[in-house]
Amino acid sequence: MLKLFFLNGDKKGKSLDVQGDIIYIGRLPDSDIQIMDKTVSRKHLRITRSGDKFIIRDLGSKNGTFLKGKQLIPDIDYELNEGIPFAAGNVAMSIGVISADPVFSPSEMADLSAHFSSTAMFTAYKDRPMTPPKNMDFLFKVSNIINQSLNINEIMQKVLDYLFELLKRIDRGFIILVDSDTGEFTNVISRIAKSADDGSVSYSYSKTIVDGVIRSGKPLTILDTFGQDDADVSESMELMHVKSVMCAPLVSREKVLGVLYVDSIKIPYGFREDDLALVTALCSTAAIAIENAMLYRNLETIIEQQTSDLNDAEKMLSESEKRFRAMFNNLNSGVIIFKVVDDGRDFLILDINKADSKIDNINKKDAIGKSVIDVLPELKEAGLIQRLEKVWNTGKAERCPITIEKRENRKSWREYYICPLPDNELVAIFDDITEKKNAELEQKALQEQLFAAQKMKSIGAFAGGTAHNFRNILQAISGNVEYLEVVYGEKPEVKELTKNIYSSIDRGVGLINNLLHFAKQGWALEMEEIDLAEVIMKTHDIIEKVFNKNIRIKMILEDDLQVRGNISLLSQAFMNLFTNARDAMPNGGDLTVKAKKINNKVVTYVTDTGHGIEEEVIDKIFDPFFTLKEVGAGTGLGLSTTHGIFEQHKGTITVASKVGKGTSFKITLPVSKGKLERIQEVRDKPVRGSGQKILIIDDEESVLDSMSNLVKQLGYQAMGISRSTEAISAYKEWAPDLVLIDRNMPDMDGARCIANLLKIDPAAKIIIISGYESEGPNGIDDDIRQAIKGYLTKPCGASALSSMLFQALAN
Amino acid sequence: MGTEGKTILIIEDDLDVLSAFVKNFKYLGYDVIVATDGLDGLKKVDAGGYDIVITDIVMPFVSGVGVVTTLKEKRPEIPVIAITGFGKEPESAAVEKKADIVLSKPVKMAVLKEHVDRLLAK
Repeated sequence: MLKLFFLNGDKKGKSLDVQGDIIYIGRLPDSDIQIMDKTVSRKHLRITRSGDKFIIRDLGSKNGTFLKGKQLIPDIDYELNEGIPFAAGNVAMSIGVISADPVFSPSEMADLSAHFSSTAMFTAYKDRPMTPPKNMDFLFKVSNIINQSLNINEIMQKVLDYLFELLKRIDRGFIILVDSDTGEFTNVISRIAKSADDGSVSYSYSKTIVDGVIRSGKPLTILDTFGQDDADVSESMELMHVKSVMCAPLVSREKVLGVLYVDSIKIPYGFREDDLALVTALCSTAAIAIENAMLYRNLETIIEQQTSDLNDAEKMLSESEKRFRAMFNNLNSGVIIFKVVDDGRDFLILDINKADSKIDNINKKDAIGKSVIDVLPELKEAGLIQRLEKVWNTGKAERCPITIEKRENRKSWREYYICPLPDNELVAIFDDITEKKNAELEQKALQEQLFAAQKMKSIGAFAGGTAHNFRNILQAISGNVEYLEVVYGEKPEVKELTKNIYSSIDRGVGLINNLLHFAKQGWALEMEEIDLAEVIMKTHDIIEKVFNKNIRIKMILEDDLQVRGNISLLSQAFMNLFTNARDAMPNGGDLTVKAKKINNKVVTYVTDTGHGIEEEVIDKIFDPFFTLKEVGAGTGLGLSTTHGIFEQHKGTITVASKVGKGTSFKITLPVSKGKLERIQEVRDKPVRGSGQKILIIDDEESVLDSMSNLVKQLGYQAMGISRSTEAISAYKEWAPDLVLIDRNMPDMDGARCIANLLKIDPAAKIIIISGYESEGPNGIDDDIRQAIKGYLTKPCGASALSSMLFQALAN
Repeated sequence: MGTEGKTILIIEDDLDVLSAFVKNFKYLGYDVIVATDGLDGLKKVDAGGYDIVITDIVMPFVSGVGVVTTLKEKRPEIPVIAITGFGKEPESAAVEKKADIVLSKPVKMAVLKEHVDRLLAK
């Protein structure tokens, strides 16, 4: 629909529909468009339409027809474009073909037109395909160059550069970008052409125009802006200088990014239609470039943000990694991370921490990537691999203790906690609890020792209490037996029986002593410097009285077997050995005791020819309560006590035996160099005699035998007499050099015997050996005391005897 | 020796032991006074009429140590033989100084008699 617009005058803003292809405009009523204006001629001009084109011809008007600032020559056709104002006299008009959707509704146009003065003309262009401007190739170049930049400011500057190049007539150029959401102007670039810049030109533009273009999305040209702008007073001051304006939207993908705004200050009608087309073309290129740049900038921002986020995340991760690594390495527990390979049959070491490196004694470098079987073979033996497999197969974490037997029989204990990790990995965390375990074992051992000691203590207490009662019992038995003996002693068998009973009583005493000693083991012992030979002899003397005659006792004792020890304990020990030997020979045999010095040890052998000890039990014989005797016969305390005693003396006892042949005990004791302190007896080496004749008188055969042996060993000759009545005749016949009277029992005959001997030989050398003090009622009156050459209390050792003999014989 | 007619005071809480001693000493010709615990022992000590005392150490009420001490205070001229069931133990150490002799059970009658005679002879 073709319309004619009035741009000024009282019809300003109004439009008329135009029919037909030929339109006469004048004052005449029959004009197609009648304008009642003085300056309009009756037939003023004619517009002809053919298709899209319009021709305008002045019909010889009085005041002329103006088009684009020029007066038309009458009767000449000129091309008239839509929207281009032309004037008939003083009346300004333009034609336009309005599409179904007008860009500016009439009301809008009316609004807009209110902003301008009556002489202002404006044209709104509808969408029209662009007419290729003359400078298309230039434009092409420009668009390329613009598109090379991704910097918005750069783009805008370049656009303005080219704009000013292309359009010489513009004085000012602005590019205004707008925020699509808020409508705010975000970016404004302005430029003043050098030619126009005289220092007074301002940098303000019409917001109204810009808003309008942004809202409509269509370019806008105002050829003459003379007029008031009510809305913005300050702008209007400037606007008064502005003559022509071109404003085109920067549209990309149907979004208005902003506008390109150029104006010319001095000249109205400064722009031609080409110019707007150019600007519009430039705008579309610029818009794309700007949008790209904006997208790029957004992208940059996003990337920046993301990078920043990434950096933050990385930092956090790094901190976390640092933290965990520190924890990993500072843990006291060892940690190994495995990769499960070969379907759970093998495990590669991925990582180990410092603690594990230390405990397992492996280098991290050497371990990583290798199979656990290669790197930690001892763990395989200890069963760790199976555990790893189990955890892998079940997916459940497990705790397991592991014992590792390393070289030199040293064990170490560990506790492992194995749990699965994602991605076919396992982690094993472990603690070495060897120290703890050893401490536990030690404590357990100590506790056991404590218990044992407590047991011993209670046995001791028990034994102590029992001992007293026991001794009372033995006393009662002994006393009564003795009574029986004195009453019925004439009967020969009574003596034999009572002897046995006494021997049993002695064994009872020995037993209770053993028990007490055994219970006392922990108590401090009194040690002194003693001659082992003496101790052995002492013990021997005790036992030989009670041993059966079918046991032959041989003593081969060296001199100077000095050790540090407790006499009674050592006696007990040897007593026990002798008793065992005797028990092993129920049908008689040989008991040999040899003692000598070898290097720095006193070595004693106690050998019997008894039934021997079986191999299976020989290791156990020193165990307490182990006994080979029948139930009830032996208490089993003997050898264990004996062993303990020698141990207490820092010695050893070992056994060798052959069943059917016999048994030999070897005892070693360290030689002591301390000063011998025994007061009672003479300490010299046994002095040997030179074959002198010694007459020995004792009513006990066994004593006689052993004494004779001893005396013979000491290098003398010996004859034994068991009846004191025979002593006289023996003395007369044999003429001994010395008489040894050994008596345990008080015997009047003993005294008389001595008296008789002295009668036949006043110079007879007589030595009494007795179990009782010389003060005792042993028939040792003062007379006798003076007469005898010596008195020895039993038990006496070989050396004491020997020195006594020597001295007595020497005088 | 002249042991006949001498009286021995025996203090012993074990009746079997006591009877054995009594039998033997009587057979040997001694007179015997007995006490079966320390308290009674002290009473008998006071009563007098004995020449020598043989006492056990561990006894009810008053131990032999007490008897020995009392005896040595009141009748220092009377010899004392102490017999102990503990062997050479702390008790005997305590008595050692005071008693004339300490013997360990079981003691042979003969030995005991020897000591008795010896001490009485002094």
